[in-house]
Amino acid sequence: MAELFRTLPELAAFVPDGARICLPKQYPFALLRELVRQGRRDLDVIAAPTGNFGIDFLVAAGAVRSVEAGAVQLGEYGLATNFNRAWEEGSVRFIETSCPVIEGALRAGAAGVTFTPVPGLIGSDILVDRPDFLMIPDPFAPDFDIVLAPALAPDFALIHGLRADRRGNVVCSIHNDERLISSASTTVLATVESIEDDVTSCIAGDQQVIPSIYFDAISVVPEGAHPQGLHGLYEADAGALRAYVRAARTPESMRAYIDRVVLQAESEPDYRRRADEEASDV
Amino acid sequence: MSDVRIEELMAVLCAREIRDWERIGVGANSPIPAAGALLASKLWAPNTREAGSSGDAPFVGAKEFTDLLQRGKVDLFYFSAVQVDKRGNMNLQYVQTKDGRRRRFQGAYAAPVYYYGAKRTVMFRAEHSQRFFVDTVDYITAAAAQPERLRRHGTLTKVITPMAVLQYNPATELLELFSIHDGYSFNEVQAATGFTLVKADGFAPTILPTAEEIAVLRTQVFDDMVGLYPQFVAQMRSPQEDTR
Repeated sequence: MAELFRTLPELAAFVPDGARICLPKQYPFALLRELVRQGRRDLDVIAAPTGNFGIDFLVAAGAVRSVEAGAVQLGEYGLATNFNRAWEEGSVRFIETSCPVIEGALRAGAAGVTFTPVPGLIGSDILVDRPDFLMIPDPFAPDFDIVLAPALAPDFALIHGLRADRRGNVVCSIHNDERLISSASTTVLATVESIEDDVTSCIAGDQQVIPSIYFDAISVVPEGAHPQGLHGLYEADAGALRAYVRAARTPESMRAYIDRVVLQAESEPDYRRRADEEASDV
Repeated sequence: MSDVRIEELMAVLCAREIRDWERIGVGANSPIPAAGALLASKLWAPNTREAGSSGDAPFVGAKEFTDLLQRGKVDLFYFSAVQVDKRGNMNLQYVQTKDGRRRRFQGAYAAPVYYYGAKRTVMFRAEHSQRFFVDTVDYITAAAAQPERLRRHGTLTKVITPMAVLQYNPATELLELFSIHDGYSFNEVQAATGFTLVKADGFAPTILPTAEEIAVLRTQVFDDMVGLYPQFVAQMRSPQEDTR
């Protein structure tokens, strides 16, 4: 590897059309925007373990072929309108699963084994929708059956951390699954708010350092989680999220919003100016 | 207690499911059971351990709580659903529309594992209707009845709504009417339910919230919830409209 630290466009260029990407609930939103600017298509997206604005945005931009998630919704902002619309039209496939299945399958992927046992699911219609899940007599408890789900070993983990040191150790909150997806994926790409000389001596109780060895490329993108918040650093931009939700009411207004705010933006600071102009107080 | 809001009554009923020293979990976006868990911890269950409680060290990622639950260490978990049927099966995913299409909701979340892993599951829904209580769910997200050869740590125990409490009878594998809230008749509850209601052993009117429960809920509990559920608390503290 020539260089660990890359520009945002270089980072996005790692991800080809048709790649299977995994996203935690804390999105590397600037990287998602750059993927859209580069016209990425046919992504298979795995949510760890549920999806919200980031996945809805990728779907709205036409970058997604399938979504595998415990749920897709926008929290207090309601339903994921773009995702639901694309699913109803049939332009995006939804792969039924459940949060613990994704977590277990990523752990299996991280361990280099091919499946995870799932304690549950029997009697659920999800088994009908997932013929690739197996139900077998439990080899170690023969009175019971157990479901096996295939491991998840995504092509790419895409994460956003608070900061990195020059060796590429990345600080994240412990609340989401950045560490799990980084350990399960073939290639790991991170954006971070800043580079600092020492990231290990000032770790808060709800932060962790993910070791450099996992990362293939890192890009410094201040406010790279916007319009989401970043735990411990900044709040979600409610005005920008409301503007997004308002734009999502029709496919036409959503396309126009993405065109104005993301596609025409020459850089992330330019995106931010455009997002601020659209931001809604109501 | 005519000034008690329906959300307050439901929070008190959620709270009454909690015993001291239990390990409990409340899903995201669930202010009613979250209020109930806080209420119980302030009145009769001070030693309750709640996942993600503000005074405790946080879990790492989503999987730690799931692991705890999969091992049968979680006594009580609260879920809502789009539909629940007479067998206690729950649906969070799809509803069949009259024109034969599937309408999608958010997704299964953790229900297809948690419904089997929690020792007790209490369902809550701020709506009691034939849309919610159906004869047979359009999609089984998780099953209450014991599928053969499934190892499980527990199942559904109660369903709490604005009109009544239903109780799951594991012997008959059916939901039964446990209690009716003040102001509703059996016929009204039956009319709003999409299957024939059988009264549970010990069926009685819902025990009204005490003055202490309501007072603690409105002060200490709502104060504690402002950070996580600002909209809910604001709604609970705004002038009340008569919705009955």
